[in-house]
Amino acid sequence: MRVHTKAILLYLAFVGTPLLGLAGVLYAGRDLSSPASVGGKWNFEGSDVQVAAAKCDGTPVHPESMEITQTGPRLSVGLGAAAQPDLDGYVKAGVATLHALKNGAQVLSLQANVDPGPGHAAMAGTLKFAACKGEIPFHAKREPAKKPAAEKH
Amino acid sequence: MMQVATLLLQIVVILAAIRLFGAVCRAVHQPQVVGEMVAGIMLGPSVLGALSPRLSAFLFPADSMGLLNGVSQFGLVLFLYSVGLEHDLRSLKGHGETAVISSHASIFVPFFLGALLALFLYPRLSDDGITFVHFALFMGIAMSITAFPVLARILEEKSLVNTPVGATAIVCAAVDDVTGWCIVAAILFVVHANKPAFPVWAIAPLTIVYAVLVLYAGPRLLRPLASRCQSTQGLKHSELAWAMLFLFASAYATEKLGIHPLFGAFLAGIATPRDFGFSKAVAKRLEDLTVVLLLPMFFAYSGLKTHLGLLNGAEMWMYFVAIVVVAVIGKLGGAAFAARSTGMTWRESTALGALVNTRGLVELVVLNIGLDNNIISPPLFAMMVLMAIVTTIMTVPLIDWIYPPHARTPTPVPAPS
Repeated sequence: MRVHTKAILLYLAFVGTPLLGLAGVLYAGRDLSSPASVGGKWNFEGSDVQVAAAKCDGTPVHPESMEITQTGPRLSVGLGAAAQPDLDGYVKAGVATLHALKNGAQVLSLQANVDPGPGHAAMAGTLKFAACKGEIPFHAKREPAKKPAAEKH
Repeated sequence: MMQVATLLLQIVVILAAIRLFGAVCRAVHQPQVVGEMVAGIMLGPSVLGALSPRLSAFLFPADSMGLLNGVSQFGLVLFLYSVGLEHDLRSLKGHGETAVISSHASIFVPFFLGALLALFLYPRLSDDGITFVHFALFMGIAMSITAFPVLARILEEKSLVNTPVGATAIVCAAVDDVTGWCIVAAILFVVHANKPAFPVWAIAPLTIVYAVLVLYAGPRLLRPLASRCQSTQGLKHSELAWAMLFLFASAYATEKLGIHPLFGAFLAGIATPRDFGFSKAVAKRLEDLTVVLLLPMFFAYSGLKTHLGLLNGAEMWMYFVAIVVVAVIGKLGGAAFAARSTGMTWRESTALGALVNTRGLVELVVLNIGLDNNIISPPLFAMMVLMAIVTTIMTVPLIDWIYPPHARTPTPVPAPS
C-alpha cells in the first residue's frame, strides 16, 4: 500500500507538475504578441515600380513581385534582380523597414505599412534609391499562403 | 518525362550520398540514421546549394520538388506503418512503476520545458501567423519525441535489450511514440491547418471513433489473413496486398479527417494482428524497400528544406544552444530523475535518460509536419533539425561512458516481446 502511495506521489510529481506548469505557460503566454506575419511573395500593384526604379538608378527591379523571408521580426527581401542587393530589416508595430547596403553604403531602402487586418494581405509604402532624390510609392498584395505539403499531392 | 528523368537522377545522387555518409557514421560507431540526416543536409542549400548553386539547381530544380515530396511522403506512410507494426500494446501491460513513471515523465517534463522555451522564442522566431498556444504545444511535442526505431537498433547493437535499462527504455520509447503521435494529431486538430472535409467540432470525436474502430475491428478483420499466412507458411502477395489496402485506406481516412495521413498509417500498423507472426512478416517484407529506397528520399527532401545559412549571427546560434540544452535537460533529466526516484541506481537512471533522449528520424518527421503547416519558421526548423542530430549523436558515446558492459546488472530482465 505504501509503495502504491509512493508511486502515485511520484507520478503526480513527475507528470502532474509539468502538466500544471504547461497550463501556467499557456496562460502566461496568452497575451504574448509576435511580429506581424509578412513572409511570402508580394505582388506589386498599381504602380510601375520597375520603370520608376530603372529611371532612378538604371538597374532593373523585378517588375511584379518581391519575396520576403521572415524570422520573427527580422526580414530579408529579394527584389528578384541580380543587380540589386537583398534588403535586410525588421517589422515592428506593423511597419516594415528594410535597407540594402553596397560596399558599406545604403543604396536602397523600403518602408511600408502593413495592413493590420487578418492575414496582413496588403502593404503600402515607398522604395528609395540612394542615387535618386524622390521616393517610389508602391502598393503590394500578398500571394495566398501555400497549402500544407500534405495536401499538395 | 523530363520530371521522371530528374527524379531518377535524384534517386541515384541521394542513394549514393546516403550510403557514403551512413558508412562514415558506422565507421565512427554512430547510428546509420545520423549519416542519413547529415547526407540530406549536405544535398540541400546549406552545403551543395552554397558550394555549387548551378549543380544544385540542376539536380534539384524547383519544379521537381513536388514529385520528390510525393515519393518521400509515400515512404513516410510505409515507415510509420512499420513503426506501428513494431509496437505491441500488450507488451506495455504489467511493466513496473519505473517504466510507467519514467515514460510519462520523459514526455511531460520536456513538453513543459519546450512550452516554457516557447515563451522566449515566440516573439523572436515566430510571427502572428501562428498563435502562441499552437506554437508552444508544437515546441512541447518536438522536445518530447523519442525515436523508437533508432533506439531499438542502438539497444540491439549495444546488447542492452536484456538489461533492466534496455527493457525500460524500449517501453518508454513505445509509450512516447504512441502518446507523441496522439499529441501531434491533437495539435494538428487544434491548428486545423489541413482544412478537413469535416467541420472542426466533429474532427475530435470522429478521430476518436475512427481510432477505436481501427484498433478494435482492424485485428479482427485481418486475423484470417494472419491464419492463412501461418497455414501457407509464409506471407503471400494477396495477404500483403490486403494489409497495404488497410494501411492506405487508414492513411487516407485520417488525411480526410484533417489530422495527418501518418497518424492513420501508424494506427494501421498497431491494429495489424500480431498472431502467427503476421505483423512481423509484413514488417520484414516492407523494411528493405522503405529503409533502403524510400526513407532516403525523405531525408533528402528534409535536407533541401533545411537552410543552415538562416542561422546567421550569434543570436541565432544562442537560440539553437538554448533549444539543445532544454531538449537534453527535459528528456534526459526528466526520465533520469523519475527512474532514480523509483529505485534505479544513478548510473542506470542516467543511461535510461540518455537512451530516450534519442530523437532521430521521428523528430524529423514531426518537424516537417510543423514546417509544412507553418507552425515553425524555416530558421527554427533548421535549429530543431540540428538539435535532432545532436541528441541522436550524443546517445552512443553517452551510453558507452555511463553504462559500460562491466557496469550492467548481471541478472537480466526479459525484454518485452
